[in-house]
Amino acid sequence: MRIRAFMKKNYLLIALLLVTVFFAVATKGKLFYSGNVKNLFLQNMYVYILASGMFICILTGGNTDLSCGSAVCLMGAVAGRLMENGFNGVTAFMAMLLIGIMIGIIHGYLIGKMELPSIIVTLAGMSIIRGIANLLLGGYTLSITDEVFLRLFGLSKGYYAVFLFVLFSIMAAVYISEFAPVGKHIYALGGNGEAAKTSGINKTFIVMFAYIFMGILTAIAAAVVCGRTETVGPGLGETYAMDAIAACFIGGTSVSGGKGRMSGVIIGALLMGIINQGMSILGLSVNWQGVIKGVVLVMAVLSGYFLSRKGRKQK
Amino acid sequence: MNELLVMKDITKDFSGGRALDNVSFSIFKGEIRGLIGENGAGKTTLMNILSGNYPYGTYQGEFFFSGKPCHFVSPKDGEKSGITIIHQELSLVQGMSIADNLFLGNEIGNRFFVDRKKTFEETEKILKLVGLDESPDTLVEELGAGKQQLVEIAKALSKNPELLILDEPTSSLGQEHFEKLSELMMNLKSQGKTMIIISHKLNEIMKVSDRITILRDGKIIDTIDNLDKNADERYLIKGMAGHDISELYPKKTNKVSDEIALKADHYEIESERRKGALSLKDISFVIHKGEVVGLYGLMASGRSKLVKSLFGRSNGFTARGNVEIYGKRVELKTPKEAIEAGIAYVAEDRMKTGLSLERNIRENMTLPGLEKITIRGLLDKAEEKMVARDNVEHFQIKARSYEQDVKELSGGNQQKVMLSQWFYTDPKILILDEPTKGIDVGAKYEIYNIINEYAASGGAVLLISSDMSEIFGLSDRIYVLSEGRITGELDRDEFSADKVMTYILKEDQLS
Repeated sequence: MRIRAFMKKNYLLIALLLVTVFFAVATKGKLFYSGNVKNLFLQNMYVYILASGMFICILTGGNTDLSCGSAVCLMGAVAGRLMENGFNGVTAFMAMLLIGIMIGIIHGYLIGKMELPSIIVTLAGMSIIRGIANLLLGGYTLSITDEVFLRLFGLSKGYYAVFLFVLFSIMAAVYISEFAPVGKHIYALGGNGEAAKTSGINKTFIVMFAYIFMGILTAIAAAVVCGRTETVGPGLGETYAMDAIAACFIGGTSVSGGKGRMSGVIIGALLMGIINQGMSILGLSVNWQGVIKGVVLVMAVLSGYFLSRKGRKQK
Repeated sequence: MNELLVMKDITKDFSGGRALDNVSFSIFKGEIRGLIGENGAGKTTLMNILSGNYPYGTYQGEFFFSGKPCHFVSPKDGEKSGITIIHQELSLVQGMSIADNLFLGNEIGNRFFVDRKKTFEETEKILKLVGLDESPDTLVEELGAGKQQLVEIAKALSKNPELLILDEPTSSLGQEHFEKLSELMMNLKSQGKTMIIISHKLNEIMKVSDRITILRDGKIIDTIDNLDKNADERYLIKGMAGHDISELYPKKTNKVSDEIALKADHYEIESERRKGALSLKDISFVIHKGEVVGLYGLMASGRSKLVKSLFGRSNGFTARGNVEIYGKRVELKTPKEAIEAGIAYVAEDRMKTGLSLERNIRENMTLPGLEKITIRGLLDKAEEKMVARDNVEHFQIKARSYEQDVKELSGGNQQKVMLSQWFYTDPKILILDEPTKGIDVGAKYEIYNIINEYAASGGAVLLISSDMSEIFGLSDRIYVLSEGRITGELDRDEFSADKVMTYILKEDQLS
């Protein structure tokens, strides 16, 4: 009985431990080489940022954003083109933020006000945004050389301002979900939409808020990714939505919203990172990585289901 | 006495017709007013206007609160002026704590931070007021229905209202919770609060209200004094229904035969929470052909669990024991097997488990008995229509046609659709779980008739209800279930509330 209660409470940490041990053994300890540990964070910064935004969206009622990967690509393309034409890095970043906010407003309006299902809206968004991004790129990969931009978001110039952006994203989601009045409204809306309505909570506002927040974080993620790789190519961000959503669900966020905590999401993102990292060290192809990530996602949600009371009750 | 609320010539039209027709009435400061009426009489519409759910301008007429005219645009305005409504359906967020629920939408703190400490303190104060002994950070989902109701009231009180409207506060609660609620209402009254209570349960209305207003077809029929709690029940029923209903329950015409339809012998169900423990133990009972057997128990006595398990839905927890249907031993593992064995289970919650709300009457009608109209894997549409037409006629279901969506029907008619769909499976044993929950007097009477008719034609009925008088009115025999055991059995000539309560308490003393 005690073991069960302990497992239930800490199953995320246990899963994290198991996966870490597995990859540590499978890679013969290479996982813990300092270069790899560093990469574990650097290569996955976008997961933490996007998952923080995705978490807030999902809380409002299971609303995901499938388009965030495409948006990262579009923002990178716009910023890349701007800098090519002599605009500086700060202006480029402002443009990214603007695009994020605009996408957030459109998604939030369609989902919150018109009550369209988020999966349809953001699936359409994903296709539209990816299309525009590819038009802008014209099939080429742009390189980013702007000094200011790379100082802010890059790693090669010896400045690490980029960590502040990652930290800011995570802390913003923690603040919203744990301390802000609007967070209570977000949880309430996802937990019981009718109750939220009778308590005078404005659904449109809350959903718009969540998607605009997501848009801003997507812009930050885009800047961070472009800054690190110093390039923007047509395939950029294709797996990002999957990574962010998986981190949330592995981290115990309820699929229908209203339940979950940032601490879980961070562990979920960490878990995704270790799996990503471990598999690259093992030299598995991207395709196999996708297969395994999918399996892990289902297993994580399943184990959460069985460990919670709901799984045993089955009315 | 001064008037707290004055309503003048309120008229509200919907596309379907007039819901309120020149309604004028007033509520005095410090009274408890009962508001009764059948479904569709306009009670809820009236309350929606009062609370600001229907904004000013969408109805004609005007109302004054504390002498001031009210032009509410949203429920927030209503709450600001001091009118708070507790809705029929529990409107709590299950996954949130009591404290967070209480101040949802009115968080304590500044714009950017919730003041947790203060929220906790305030919550504790209010919980004390309603007599709920729980920590403010307890999640609502961990509470039972009765305690959740108290949280709901606490939430309303947190807005410090002058007028509190309780819309069907006990529709999902048993008798034992009402006692607590009425105590609380008296307590609030002594603190000078004014309340309006809406309920289908006349005995409850009569017990707490100072005055009772009857609403019918959007008009006020009468307001009578009930200061001495002795209003004439017959008069109230007549006012609501518009015609005299001489008896609350139809005369019983069934003959109980000696033949045993359903027999359970030392039936027991394992607890789903604790392994090895039993949540129902040593359950032995019989139902004869042509007999209506009442099963009475408090909310958590296990009565629904018992019948669901009999109906083959014991998944998740194991059941043991001998069950016989007309002398033949059966082991029912799924509802399908139960239906084939001749059991029909009319579930308690028609919205969630009973009906497919988005589908029409025709499709719902043959849902449990779908095999009867299936020929070689194809549906016989002509037969489906015929069944629907016959049943709508036979059970007098009020609908535009059998193509109407079930969700558009009134509660009573939905209940009739549910009954008729199960009758179509030709059940030998009919299990009814709260068959008249939330429906009005007229429809109740019709459903009682249907139950009686079925028993008279040789069916066997197991009836569950939280309404003791309903159990008394319909049953030939009663079993009392308490804490997972059958603690007593009463024949029709020994029915009395005292005896039932003694049997319920008996188990308490045993354990």
